[in-house]
Amino acid sequence: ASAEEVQELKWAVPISFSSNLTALGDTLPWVAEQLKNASGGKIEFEVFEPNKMIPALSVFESTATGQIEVGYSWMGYERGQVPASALFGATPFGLEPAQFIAWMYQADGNALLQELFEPYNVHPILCGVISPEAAGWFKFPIETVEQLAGLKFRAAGLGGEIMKEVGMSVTVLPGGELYQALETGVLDATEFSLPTVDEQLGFYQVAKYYHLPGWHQPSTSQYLYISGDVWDDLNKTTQSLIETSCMAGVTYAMARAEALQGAVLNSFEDKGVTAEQLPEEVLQKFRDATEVVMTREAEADPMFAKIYGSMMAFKAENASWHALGYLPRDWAWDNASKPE
Amino acid sequence: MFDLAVNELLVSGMLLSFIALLFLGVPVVWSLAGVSFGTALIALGLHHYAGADTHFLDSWRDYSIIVPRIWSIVENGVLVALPLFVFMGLMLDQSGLAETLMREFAATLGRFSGGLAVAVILIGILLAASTGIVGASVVLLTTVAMPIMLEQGYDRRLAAGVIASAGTLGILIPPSIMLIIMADQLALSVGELFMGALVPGILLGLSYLVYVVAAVSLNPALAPRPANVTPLTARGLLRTFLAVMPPLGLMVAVLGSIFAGIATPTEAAGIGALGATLLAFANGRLSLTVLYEVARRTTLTTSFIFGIFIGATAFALVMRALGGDDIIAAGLHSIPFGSTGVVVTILIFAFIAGFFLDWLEITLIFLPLVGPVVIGDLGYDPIWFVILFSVALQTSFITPPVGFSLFYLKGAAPSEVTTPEIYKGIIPFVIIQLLIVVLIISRPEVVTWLPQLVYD
Amino acid sequence: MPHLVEDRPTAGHSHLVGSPPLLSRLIDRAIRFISVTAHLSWLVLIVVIISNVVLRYVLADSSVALEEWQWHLYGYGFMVGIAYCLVEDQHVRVDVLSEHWSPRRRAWVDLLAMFILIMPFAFVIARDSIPFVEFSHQLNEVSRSPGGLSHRWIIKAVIPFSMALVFLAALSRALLMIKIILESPSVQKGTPNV
Ligand code: NA
Ligand code: NA
Repeated sequence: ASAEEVQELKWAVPISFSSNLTALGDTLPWVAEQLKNASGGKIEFEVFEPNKMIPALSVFESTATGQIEVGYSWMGYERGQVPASALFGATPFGLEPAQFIAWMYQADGNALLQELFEPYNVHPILCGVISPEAAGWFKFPIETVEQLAGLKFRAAGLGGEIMKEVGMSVTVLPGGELYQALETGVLDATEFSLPTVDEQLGFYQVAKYYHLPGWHQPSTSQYLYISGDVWDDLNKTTQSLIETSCMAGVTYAMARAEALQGAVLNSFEDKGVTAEQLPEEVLQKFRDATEVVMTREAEADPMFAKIYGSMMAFKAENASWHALGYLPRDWAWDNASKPE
Repeated sequence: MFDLAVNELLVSGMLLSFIALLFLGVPVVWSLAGVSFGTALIALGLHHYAGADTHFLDSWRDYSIIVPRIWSIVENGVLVALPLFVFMGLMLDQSGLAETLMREFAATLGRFSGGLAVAVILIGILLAASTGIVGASVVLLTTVAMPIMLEQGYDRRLAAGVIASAGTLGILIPPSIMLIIMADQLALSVGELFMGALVPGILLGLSYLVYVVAAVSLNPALAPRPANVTPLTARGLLRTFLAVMPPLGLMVAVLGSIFAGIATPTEAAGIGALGATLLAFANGRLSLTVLYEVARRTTLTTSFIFGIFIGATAFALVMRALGGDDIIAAGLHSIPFGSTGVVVTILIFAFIAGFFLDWLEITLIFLPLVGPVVIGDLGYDPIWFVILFSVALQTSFITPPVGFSLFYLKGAAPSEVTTPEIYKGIIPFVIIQLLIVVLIISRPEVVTWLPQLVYD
Repeated sequence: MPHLVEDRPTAGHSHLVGSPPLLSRLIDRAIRFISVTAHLSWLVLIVVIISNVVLRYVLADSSVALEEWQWHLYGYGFMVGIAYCLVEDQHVRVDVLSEHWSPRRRAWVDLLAMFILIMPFAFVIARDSIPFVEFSHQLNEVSRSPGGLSHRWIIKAVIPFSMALVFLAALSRALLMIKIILESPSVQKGTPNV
């Protein structure tokens, strides 16, 4: 058989995060550029900023109901419709970026992803993975487990379920009220994103304690959602070009996210921000609650159980390598590059 | 060549037919919705039967994206406060307290020429600093103050102009939904934008005050004093104080609960609505009939505002799917002047677009296009530019024919206030806003001073 | 009673007719009846918000479900109210020119607006929102937030419901306009605006 030509595509591609948000929102515009160049201008993705065409949270729904051919979103916004999807967006105490792509590309991850979305006639392609997020911006430092009870926190998704489980007062204020609520103290704390993004949005102006790590989101993944019918109509050359560009997008996002956080984090001290890790006992408390919540979610949904099981089995298998193969994580801290 | 022109023709056709329908007296909401539908129909017809390039509008399912867009308006809780402030305003009115308040204000401040107008502006600034919800502020000021101003013989144009412009201050004076959305669009800090907007916002309010005082002293007939001015006595002052106390207390409770961090604006609005109901009860004016009437009229006022949102979302979708954004961007890139020329052109464009589109549409369509050019390529201070843009956009609320504040005012005002009177009354206030734009261009520190003081 | 948002026929022709056609009256009555639930939604909304504040400050607790009830109530209220505005003719117009027109001419404009602008839009959005609701129903959609509400399809169904009401309200008004056009002789020209 003769090699097929790349098909000409002109798609409007809505995204869920503003492309101005460094490392969080600028991956798909980069992928679109690569696709255009690699296809000699035949594949054109016109990126539509959030809410410009379809609402930021509707990418999955609009693809599944055939209103759009393709969109780009953080997986997990559709958690209310496809509960197990949250695991592919970010899993609390789950896989770190390198582990996550290992599970996706080399283990069962991608096959499970396609199995999960097949009933909805949607073909998702992993197209961006970023470094851990932060635990959040706090009005006061968290030093003990006792402080968690009743702590007024804004969080969504699985992380929010776990915070509820430990007795925090979780709310889902609309994004537009977030900054003011934190400023006036209606909220004690909120989580948002990576240090670069948090810095852009200026949360340090209203909350001076920045806690890490993002235990609820050790890696964050975004996907290109393509309507199943549209995907099946593409020839092998075109499919392959899109898949490869997304794989490059994953690399681009991982590199960009990892590269930029250090400088921003170091700049927080000048802004009067104290950045530190959550105490061990607090993390342990969240870890215990995670078990409870994940068990509950798995009991309610067989696909959730299957995917979470695969992910955890991979994590367990990888654990010995992860522990022995790398320098201990606190190694650098005992040497020259420790901050302070 | 012909294909290229089809979507441009359709986009211009949309704007023109929308304006034509408005002037035919078709309600705003149905002009927007109907034009979006008609344009989609024509575009799809041209695409399927004449092979025209209609950009991204090439199948009926593209039009159905309006459904998730409507859903996101339902799901977005930021505006829950709006019906509650409407409820509060109507209930204050029903309780008789608003009337007493304004009457006493009239007796005390009314002895000074333009006193009521000054009171309206001051209350407008307070509302702006607490809620920032323009629709609610204008409706509240209109229901509370307009009847009394008219009764006192105020010039209807002046009364309308003062209320519409004072009620619009909330979009600029923080907290501001507009600035929050702009911060989101350009990935800027909300706090810095808020600080940047504070000085220009208050300056704007003060300019209104100066204008009103000057206008009234030049032409006292604009705001006649009440016929029976009694001398200012201690007892009179006490009565004013007592009349002011309950609604003022409510206002303090509402604003205070926001500033003290007890409540979000939404919750504060709920507290305000309950408080107004309790005040009506304490005043012996609460009955089931009154409660029902207030609720019923809350539906009317709220739904006509949200109806316009739905019409606007349908209109914007079709315009974008037809490539309206690209047409605007192409226009921008062809501006021949230097960097100041680009900024001024953008402001003029925003001002003119504001005659026909509302701030939200302009912010969503236009800002992402021009922001990177001005901030990135030309290197202007982002906070300065966004505030400048905001002041220019703020005029969109009060410029005819599509000025949301004018609609709110018209919706809530006694029917004797006609649309032409509102249009004429607003002109001086539009001019003041433009003067502030000029001031910000010539003296950027009006904007940049406070954010630098606070955050650097 | 002090002045409020008036229930005033902005197009100013209802005083011309003894009563609207029977079908119009039936539709209007049904929509007014349904709209009572919208009016009540504001009262419930106040109660829910106060409960939320009390919960947080008195009991140091929070309920995402209660927070979500807020926008459920408000979404229901304003969506259903759109048809009610049409029934009460409360939508804002730019009446710069039409203020000087005869009621008959204004009735013509309204009639065409109903048939060309409103009814097709309402019909198409009602129709296209049904798959949207069905999708939610099939997936048994619940809130994506921790402890949020379930049965999302019910509140999503407010879109087709509201648009169907708008369609009916427009039909009712169109019938009224036809009656006005048929019954009002050209003598009525120049009747002062209300
Ligand atoms: Na404000
Ligand atoms: Na305007």
